[in-house]
Amino acid sequence: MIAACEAIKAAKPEMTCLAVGSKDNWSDVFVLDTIMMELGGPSTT
Amino acid sequence: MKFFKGEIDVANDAIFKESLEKFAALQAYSNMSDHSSLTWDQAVSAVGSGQAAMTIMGTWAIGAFIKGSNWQPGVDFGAVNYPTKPDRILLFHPDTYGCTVGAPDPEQCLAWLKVVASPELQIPTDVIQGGMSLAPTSIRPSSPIRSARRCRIMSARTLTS
Repeated sequence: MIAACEAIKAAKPEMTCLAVGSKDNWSDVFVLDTIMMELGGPSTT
Repeated sequence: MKFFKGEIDVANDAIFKESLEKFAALQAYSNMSDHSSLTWDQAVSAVGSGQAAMTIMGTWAIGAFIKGSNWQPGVDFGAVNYPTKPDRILLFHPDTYGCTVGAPDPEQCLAWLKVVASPELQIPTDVIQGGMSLAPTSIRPSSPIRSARRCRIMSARTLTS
């Protein structure tokens, strides 16, 4: 995702790559959740 | 899952530390000037207005794109599952309702569950607003994005929140 954001930033410097609405705390958690799942896996047990 | 069960030592766990570092790195590419004053649907609107390229959100964002930006799913915007490597994982946040054992009014409770699961309630709340109805299965997803996600959920081992 960071690589994609770098490419977007280079092509359109005025555009934000990832829009976040932190007024709803849970939407921030979504971002951290996905990173943790990528690095740590689902670990369903 | 271990994190949410409190089984991770957050002060010393290497994966959690790396997750926070990547989370912090992403902030350089986020709307840090106004993120704390925006609600989730306002973040979706930032994408719809061309201010932002993407957001991380559930299928209910579909309704916000349609109502807020007049964007049509599969036409004006799309969605991808993330993460996909090393494993494709779909985080599924369900709203669930149930009757507890020993509920004082079991008949009333079951009647309520029938209302919750009925097309009369599911369509105006989930289907139109953008959520994804899993039951009853007779309700068909109204967009290609939700259709793909529902197939994925119904066929895969699913990790729920």
